[in-house]
Amino acid sequence: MATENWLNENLCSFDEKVRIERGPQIVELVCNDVNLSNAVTSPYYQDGARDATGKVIRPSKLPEEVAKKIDAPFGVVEEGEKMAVVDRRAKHAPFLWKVYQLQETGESDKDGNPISRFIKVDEVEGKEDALDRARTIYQGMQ
Amino acid sequence: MPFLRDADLTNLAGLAGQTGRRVDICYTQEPTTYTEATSTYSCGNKTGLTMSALADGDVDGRKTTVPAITDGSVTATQTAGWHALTDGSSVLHAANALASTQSVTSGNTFTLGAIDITLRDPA
Repeated sequence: MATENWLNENLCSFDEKVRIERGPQIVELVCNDVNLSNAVTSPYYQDGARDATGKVIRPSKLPEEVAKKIDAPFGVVEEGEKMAVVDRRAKHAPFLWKVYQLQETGESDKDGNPISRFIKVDEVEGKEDALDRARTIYQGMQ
Repeated sequence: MPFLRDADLTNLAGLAGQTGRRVDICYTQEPTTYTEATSTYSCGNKTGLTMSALADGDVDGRKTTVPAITDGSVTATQTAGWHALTDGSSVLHAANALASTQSVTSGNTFTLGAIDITLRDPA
């Protein structure tokens, strides 16, 4: 039986091998004036800023000299394309319980030791469903 | 800081002066939870930070400041695009995009300027 340790009301750890944590979803919205307005998305999603996956929002709307200096290794999202935003007020999608499992990633640290991370393996709306899912995953790790 | 936890917006004085804060630099996506900020998408961190006492904002309002970081530990070779402030145990206080993305190499150190968290006066 896992030791279920509630670190706060939104985060429960199962022996630090599995976690559930409640949080907002990243949603895709069409990039346009309406969806970039503060009434729809957070004020920091604006022209020249980055969306939730790192794409620069509408660099073509910026003055040319500014746009030329934009650093966009993750690409850009222009008018009419889909942009990713964190829906922190659940206006478009409900908060979910995200289920994370500690997994080796194939990466190594500077000493060559394998790196493990909590990788999201599921997300569900109900807390009890998340707990059930986490318990099942935890049991499978024993 | 674009994202700031509601409880910290309500009570900025409660965040000011807090010790044991942690800043992570993150890759792939803007972190939405504490777990994502400190594990799933973290490629470096600095622990043991102390928030400044509450002070006047630069223009108006009040602010608290995350101190500058000169010796953060890079834990994975990635392109960092965000940073996140947590309490180091379970709470995501704030998250923001870095001013510009940065390629980082595991084993190196990262630096980050001081970060003001300001509540402006009403318009």
